[in-house]
Amino acid sequence: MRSDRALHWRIPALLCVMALVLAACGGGDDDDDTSSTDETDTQGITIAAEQELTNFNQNTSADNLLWGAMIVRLVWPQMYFQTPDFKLEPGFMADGPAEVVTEDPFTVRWKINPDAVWSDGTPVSSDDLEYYWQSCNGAVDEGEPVDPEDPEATAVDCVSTDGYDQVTQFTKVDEKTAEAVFSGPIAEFDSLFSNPIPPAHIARAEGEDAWGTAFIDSPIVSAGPYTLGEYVKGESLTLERNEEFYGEPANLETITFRFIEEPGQMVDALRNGEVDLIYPQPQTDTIPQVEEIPDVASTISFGPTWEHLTFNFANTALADAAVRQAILLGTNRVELVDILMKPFSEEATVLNNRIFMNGNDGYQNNAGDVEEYDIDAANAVLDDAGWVEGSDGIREKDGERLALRIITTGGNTLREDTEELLQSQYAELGIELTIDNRPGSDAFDVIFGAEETAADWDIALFAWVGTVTPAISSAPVYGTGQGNNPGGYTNPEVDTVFAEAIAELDQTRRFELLNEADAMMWAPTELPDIPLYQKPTHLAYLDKYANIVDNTTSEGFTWNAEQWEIVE
Amino acid sequence: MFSYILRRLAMSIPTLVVASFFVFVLVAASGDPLAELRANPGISDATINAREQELNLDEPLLSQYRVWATNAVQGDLGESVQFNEPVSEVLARRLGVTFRLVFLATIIGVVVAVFIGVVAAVKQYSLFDHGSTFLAFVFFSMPVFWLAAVLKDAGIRMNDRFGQTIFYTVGERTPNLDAGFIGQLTDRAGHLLLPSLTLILISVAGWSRYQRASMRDVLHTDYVRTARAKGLSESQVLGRHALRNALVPVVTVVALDFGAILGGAIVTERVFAWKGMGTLLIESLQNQDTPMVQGWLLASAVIVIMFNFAADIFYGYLDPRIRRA
Repeated sequence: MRSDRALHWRIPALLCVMALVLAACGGGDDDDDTSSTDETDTQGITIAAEQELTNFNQNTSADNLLWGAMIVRLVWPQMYFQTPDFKLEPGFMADGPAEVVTEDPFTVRWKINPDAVWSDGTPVSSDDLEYYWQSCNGAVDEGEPVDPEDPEATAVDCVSTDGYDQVTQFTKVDEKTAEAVFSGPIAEFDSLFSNPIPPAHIARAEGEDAWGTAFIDSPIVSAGPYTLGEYVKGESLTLERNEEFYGEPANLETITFRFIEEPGQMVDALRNGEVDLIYPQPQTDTIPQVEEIPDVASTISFGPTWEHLTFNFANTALADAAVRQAILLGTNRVELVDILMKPFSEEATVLNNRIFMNGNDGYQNNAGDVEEYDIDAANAVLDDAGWVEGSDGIREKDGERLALRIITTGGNTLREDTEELLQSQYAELGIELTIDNRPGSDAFDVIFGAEETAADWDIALFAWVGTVTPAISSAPVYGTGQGNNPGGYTNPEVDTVFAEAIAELDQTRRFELLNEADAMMWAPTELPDIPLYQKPTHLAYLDKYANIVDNTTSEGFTWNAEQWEIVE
Repeated sequence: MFSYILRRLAMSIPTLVVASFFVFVLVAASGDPLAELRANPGISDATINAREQELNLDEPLLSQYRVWATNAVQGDLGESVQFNEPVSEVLARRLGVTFRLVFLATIIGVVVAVFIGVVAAVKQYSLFDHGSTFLAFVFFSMPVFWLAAVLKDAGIRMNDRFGQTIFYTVGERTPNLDAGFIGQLTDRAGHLLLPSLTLILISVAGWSRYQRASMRDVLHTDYVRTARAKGLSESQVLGRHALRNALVPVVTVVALDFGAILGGAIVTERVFAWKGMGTLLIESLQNQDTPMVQGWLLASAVIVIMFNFAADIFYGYLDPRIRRA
């Protein structure tokens, strides 16, 4: 009887122990490509990564994620990279800046670091640059142009063909030198090859689809300060110091990226010591929470991502310049910044330039007379244009009510708050503003026309990202008939000025031309959009780490990760 | 018993076929997998037709189902759009993660719930009974996400107090951990504590009430009174005669709950950033990953049917009258 009773308690106890061991021992089924390290926590850093890369070659339009670039740039080399102050510097791969060999025909020469070598012993060479150019020149194969008569002929999916598509001849001068002849002068040639460059010798061996498929699971080889260590999909990715690196060896032995999506979870993980660095989407509640964590450095920066309202010129009311001018005068941008941005930082300010960001070379206030919020002036403009107040308080003209829809990425709290503030501001103008959002990136299908209901919007609230190549990047946004100009704005004079800027080699003159184009678009008759403000970034990390500096360009904060070190 | 198992198994198979048919048809009816391609003016008709043929979309629905089901039986559920991996591999990985989370919570939950239910029933209206009833209702009425967040915060505060990390809040293990077997075991156990505790508290709240009610019913039956009259000890009466019968309804509830929860402890996984079945479903729906959603639903159906089957078997073991019926 005694043993019977004992058995009753032993069975559940045994089950509990078995459960604990089974549950704790499980896993590892997805660890088959692991190579565990001998490091301890103090020799590395663990970063909470909001996104998981989808392809180590993140130079395709589908795979070009900020987090992908931040990881891969430590493994594959770049010819040039962007510094936090928007300058281009030679990367590990380059032997000095790109040089103009002749101006007619416009020919550029790139020299590659003579010591640069892939981890399998293959030299980093002009063939790597040629492969990149072949993949990003917008042509079908080996420089052959896309045939408009052949709908099946599609170019390799490269994230940007800007500049590469102007190359008429690419020459591998020798193993470490390449030259390209352009169809005409191109001012921002020095930005070419500033993405992580895939290994051509691996890609060519893999076949013609290699660009998009060969590097999905692994970079295969490295020519950067780190190599791929343990990678458990969906969980974490660890980079290990490349002991064979031809440059200065990295200080930290490992950098581990843990994939954590929610900003709140990131903050908890930092607070609990499970990660050492977080870079969440800034939220007004998480910033004070982070500031309360001891031994953590927290910085807010205003990067090149800028929010704006784009007008759809297909809407007859918005095609009326008076309506656009009234909306600009009636948009209290200072109030938007005070309510939405100042909680992040007192340094937040209104953006008065579409091409250059606050604090960067070239920035100047081009808004002129229409900078300040002036509700009386706005109402006067509408009165003069014949928009009169109807029985319901909404203005009308020739039987058309001044009722507009605004679209943005639903679920983005900051943007939804902006819309609600605009609704109340425009009500004072007698404009009815209806919110017509789509979830997440679905909004872009509507705005940019990948859906049946394309162009079925009036005002779009979204962001552009400023770059170190303002001429090449901005021309497609405001140029007549360009793909990044969803509102359909057109002005041949603006087109001409952009074309001049793209070909202007003198930077001072180029910046003048770009500001001239921007100033033209602030004129009351123009106004393709209304810039609002630059969005903040939030970087927080344990203060035992030194040399961590945010880089709000598309480079990301890992731009100098090889220099990070532990100081205590 | 063997014929009883065979009978139950025979009943499970048609249920699975019907479930798989509905899974396929409902997902197929939920939208056109090629809608994005068709809306893109840059994609030629030839490309779309080729893709249609590749996915058998040019075939009648029944024929599509036949191909899909035949492949599924052979373990081929297609390729995930979002992961570029076979659906079955992703499902196996994520199911393993959820299983680890749910298994421990269920075992401990059952043991604790049965203990609480039995004691509360035996000592009806005692302080223990009132206390356990009160707590059961408290935890039963708590939203899971809130309880999880509170436990997470409490765990972090306790770590701060102890000066070392006992409770982990993210994921199922520390990546890249350089530790021996014991270190790895401790690390995984530390990651399990808070999410498991969340599930245990919620489960125990419900299951203990079932156990208490069931035990109360059994304690008032004639055969228990007879057992006592025969002079058996109280532990024999409770353990051998009462508890065994009182477990039958609880077993059913636990088996069904376990099957359902394996389909994803969605909220718990989300709060503690576990990449299990629950997170997989959300990701797949967000990314319009049709093969993955179909695979997920089929796996869920299989799991629920499997645990129904297991419950039937256990039912038959506990109560011989059932297997003779």
